[in-house]
Amino acid sequence: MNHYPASILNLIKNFGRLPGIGEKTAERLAMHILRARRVEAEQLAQSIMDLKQNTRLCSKCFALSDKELCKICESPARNQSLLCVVEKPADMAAIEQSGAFTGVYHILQGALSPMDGIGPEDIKIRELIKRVENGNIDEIVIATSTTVEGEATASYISKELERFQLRITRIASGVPVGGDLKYVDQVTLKRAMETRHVI
Amino acid sequence: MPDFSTPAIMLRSIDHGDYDLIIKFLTLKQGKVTVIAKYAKKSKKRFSGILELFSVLELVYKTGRGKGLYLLKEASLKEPFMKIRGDIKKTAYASYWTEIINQWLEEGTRQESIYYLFRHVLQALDSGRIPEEALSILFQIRFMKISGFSPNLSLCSTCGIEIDSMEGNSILFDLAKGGIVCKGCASYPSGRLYLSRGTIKQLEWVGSGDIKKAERIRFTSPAIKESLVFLEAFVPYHLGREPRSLSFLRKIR
Ligand SMILES: [Zn+2]
Ligand SMILES: [Zn+2]
Repeated sequence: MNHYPASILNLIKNFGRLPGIGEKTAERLAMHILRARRVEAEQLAQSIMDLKQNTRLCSKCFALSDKELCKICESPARNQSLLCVVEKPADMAAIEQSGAFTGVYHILQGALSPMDGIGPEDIKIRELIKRVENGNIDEIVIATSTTVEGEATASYISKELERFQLRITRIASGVPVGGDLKYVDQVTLKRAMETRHVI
Repeated sequence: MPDFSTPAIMLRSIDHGDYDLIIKFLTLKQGKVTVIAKYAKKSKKRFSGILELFSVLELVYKTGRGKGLYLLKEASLKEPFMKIRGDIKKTAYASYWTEIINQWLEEGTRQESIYYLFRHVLQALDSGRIPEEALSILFQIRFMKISGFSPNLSLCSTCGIEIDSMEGNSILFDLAKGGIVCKGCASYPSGRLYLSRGTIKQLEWVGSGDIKKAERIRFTSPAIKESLVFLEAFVPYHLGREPRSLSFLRKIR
């Protein structure tokens, strides 16, 4: 590796820091950039700079956005009275990809975790309550994860929202489609059984 | 190295790269151990979402793989304690106890009585048969006793006179001395708390004898308050630092 000049070694080192990229891949990527046309390399560099400069959180739902409001919050096609609460932008992306949800989101930017010292004021719970206070919301779907932290967060939020006239639901977490039952844990199975429905 | 199997309670899980988890367990047979669960973050088949805090599991791991980091091979769920995770207050108490255990215990030292105490309070917390506060008193006082740091609640820590010979209803407790002190021996006012005689009696009952009998002791609400203030100062004092869950607990309580 040391036979490379510093400029290449540097790039290899930086690629190597990316998740899931080992030294060999980092080297291949660096070689690819080296061979690529100048404009391609510039586009890549520029897109990284743009990402860091322009990406912020939507002021309403805290999704990633490059404007004050994200596309979903702005969209007249979305049901603004149906609110889905998730922990992370990736969770929202997963729900969006499923195409099953037509409402809007609230991204908490984390979950409550006593052992990590993450309390209610450290994630976007106050902002969620404010949104509810401002009215126009009929239903809240809590789609935090089924980990201890996610469940505890769901419990906290539903308690905090008790005083409002709202329908509060928790997404059913069930058996994965195509999943072999013997690999499904007892907690999931129990919950799937409890939330079964008529077909 | 052979595979080792033991019941265990999960204490902590940390991401290790994109695929693996490093997990601390309180095991019945080997005390606190650290294992690596390969591909636990990616593969649903391997551990299928059962590696969750406070859960009682049956583990199979390979020992002797480097010092202190074992390779988790199998895990099956015995008690998920679903009602703990579905309740923020229960989760906060369980987290506090977990942090005490995780901070206090040394790796690889068998601690059966702490394992059984922990499992007992988690079961009781999950069942809801005892208020969380009373369970936390039971856990803390018994944990300190098993660990050899039982607070001295019967004699003056300085001169040794008995509590019955002390004056007044409020008895001074000196954190640094780890015990009560009489009025004559009370010196400068730092790290001191007051406990009423009634609370002291109840703490002694709860801290000794059969745990099932002890958990039936009904504290009055002033005694609960006094005991919690006392134990939540006494335990962190001896731990050397305040568990994060404790400040969380104070916020939501
Ligand atoms: Zn938005
Ligand atoms: Zn004295």
